[in-house]
Amino acid sequence: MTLFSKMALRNLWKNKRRSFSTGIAIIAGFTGLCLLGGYIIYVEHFMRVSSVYVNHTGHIAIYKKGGVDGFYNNPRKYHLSANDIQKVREIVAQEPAVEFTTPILQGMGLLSNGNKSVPVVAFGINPADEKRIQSHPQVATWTHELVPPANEPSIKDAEGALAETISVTKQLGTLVGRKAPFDKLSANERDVQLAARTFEGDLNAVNANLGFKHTTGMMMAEDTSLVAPLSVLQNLYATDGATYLAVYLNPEANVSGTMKRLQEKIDAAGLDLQTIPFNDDAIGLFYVGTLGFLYIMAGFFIFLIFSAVALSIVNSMTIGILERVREIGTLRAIGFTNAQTAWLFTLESLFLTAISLCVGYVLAQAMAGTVNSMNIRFDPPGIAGDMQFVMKPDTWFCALLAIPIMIICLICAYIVSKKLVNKPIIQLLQQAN
Amino acid sequence: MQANEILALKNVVKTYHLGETTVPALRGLNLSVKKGEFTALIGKSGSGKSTLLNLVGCIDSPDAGQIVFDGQDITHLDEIQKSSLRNHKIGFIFQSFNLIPVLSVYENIELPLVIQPEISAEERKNRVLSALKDVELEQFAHYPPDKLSGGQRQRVAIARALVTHPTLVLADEPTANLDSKTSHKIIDLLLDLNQKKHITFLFCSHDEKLIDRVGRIIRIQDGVITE
Repeated sequence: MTLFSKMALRNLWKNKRRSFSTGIAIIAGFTGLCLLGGYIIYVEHFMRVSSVYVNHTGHIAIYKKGGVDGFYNNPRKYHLSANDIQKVREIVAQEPAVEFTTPILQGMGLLSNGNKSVPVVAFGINPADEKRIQSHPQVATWTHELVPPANEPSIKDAEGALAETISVTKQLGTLVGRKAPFDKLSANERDVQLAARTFEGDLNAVNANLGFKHTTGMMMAEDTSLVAPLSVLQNLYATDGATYLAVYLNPEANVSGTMKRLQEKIDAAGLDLQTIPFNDDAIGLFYVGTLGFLYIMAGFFIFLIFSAVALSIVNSMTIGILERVREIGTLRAIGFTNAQTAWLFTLESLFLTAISLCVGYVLAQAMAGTVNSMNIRFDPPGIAGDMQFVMKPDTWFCALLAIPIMIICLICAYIVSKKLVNKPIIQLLQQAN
Repeated sequence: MQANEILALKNVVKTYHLGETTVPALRGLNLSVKKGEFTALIGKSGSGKSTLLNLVGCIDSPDAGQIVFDGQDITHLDEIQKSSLRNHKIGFIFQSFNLIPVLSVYENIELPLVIQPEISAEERKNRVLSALKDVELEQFAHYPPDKLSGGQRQRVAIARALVTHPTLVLADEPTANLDSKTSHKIIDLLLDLNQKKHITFLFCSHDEKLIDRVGRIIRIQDGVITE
């Protein structure tokens, strides 16, 4: 260890009270940032996985051009035909970043139990693909509360004898006069009818069994959401196509890069299709809006915390330097340059900040672990049901946060010390005496 | 510059401005110091002796005149050049010892050498041990300064001033904070080092009783040399 480092560490130890108070400010600020970051990371992952997997947007959705806005008004024009789906799947299969794809069919209609009918937003998916989604590691890690437990029957099991079994939310079931759990209902009670206009504009109806329940995770969709096997909805709307093809990428894949490549290949193949990422507000308004609000809030807190840390360092350094005017004068007199003397004081700040950041990180992890284990639940706006308050301070993210704090501390310390060190030596020595 | 002359001050003027009051500290002072001389500046408080040392030590600048040290005009050096000169060629001994409290005796003496990258760690160690031996503080090498007596602290400060092998050592009232017996011991030590190592000393004091054995005495009054 160099003499400079020894001096810095011993001065920190000598001025324990001041070092402690400055360290506490940095620890509190950094811990707060790590926890805030941990919460935002959790919410971002929750929202992303919820949007991509649970609500079946996929990382990339491939629509007919204009289909995002035009499909509901003119599904005949804007739906993906079976031919489109086959061609685009051939293109997508060439992309190594793609994990799997599934066609999704959406539409509106009426759900009726014979006596009572309620409007629904119907959503069709292949049960096998739904099984893959519900058991996906990303879903298990971030949104396991939004999918039924693996042993609980759900739309993923709607194959074979259950091929006409549909899933509704608990709220929609109540609206149509059926209370969950729907799989415990008698055969008569489970018989329901779905009615809707086909893509050609004709009125159509199909029989279905009410058997499963699900949640969308979003309050606004809970009273209308119906999920059915793709084949049931294709019968209802008299089509062999879908609204869009949901493309699921490997979790580490670059969404925008993959999307760009896919769009180029689609255009080259002469297909009139468009690719849209999950975080485009055209299909992910809830995700974009929620995170936008969170980021603004986080930015405000980060500004406050950074300011508090900077002021604390400036204050501590100023007091510390004023108390050591003689030391500065002596160092300068024996040949230390202004920069070398300022570096000595900056080194103290560097050590104090580094130690405080390490303590802050450990504290953040401990606090997050404690809070997570307490299973604190709350009702966030727009989310169906309550959710656990979870913070997951990511090590790399914390390291990223530590860099600006370290830079701020060093700049503050250097500016303060340089300003005072620059005084004439004679003034420093006389001031001390 | 004359042969064997290490320091020459020519018509040096220094005036301090305290608000609207102007205090002339040096009024056209001339002085020449030869290599290996032990020179004592004697004068009352406010006579200008500390100002003279500060100007020679490049920790203050003259308003007029010229200061030539070791063949170099040091009157108009920039801050970096002054720092280098102080570190390599000038040793300072202060009235209040000015040791760094968080460093041990050994480390305090080592301090001026750590900013001389040309000196190896081995050489640094040898020089510090030699300086400790010169001031007879080998057994206190790892003591913190606050565990030493005033006389011992001043010995550490002397060792720190000598460790860089300076051309000139400036001592500003080095015995002012010491009792009479210790003061004589410190002066004896400085004289001994001057004779054995031929180090040039320029030291100032207001206590005439201390300087009976000093080779050259310069009396200063109201910013000019009187004798």
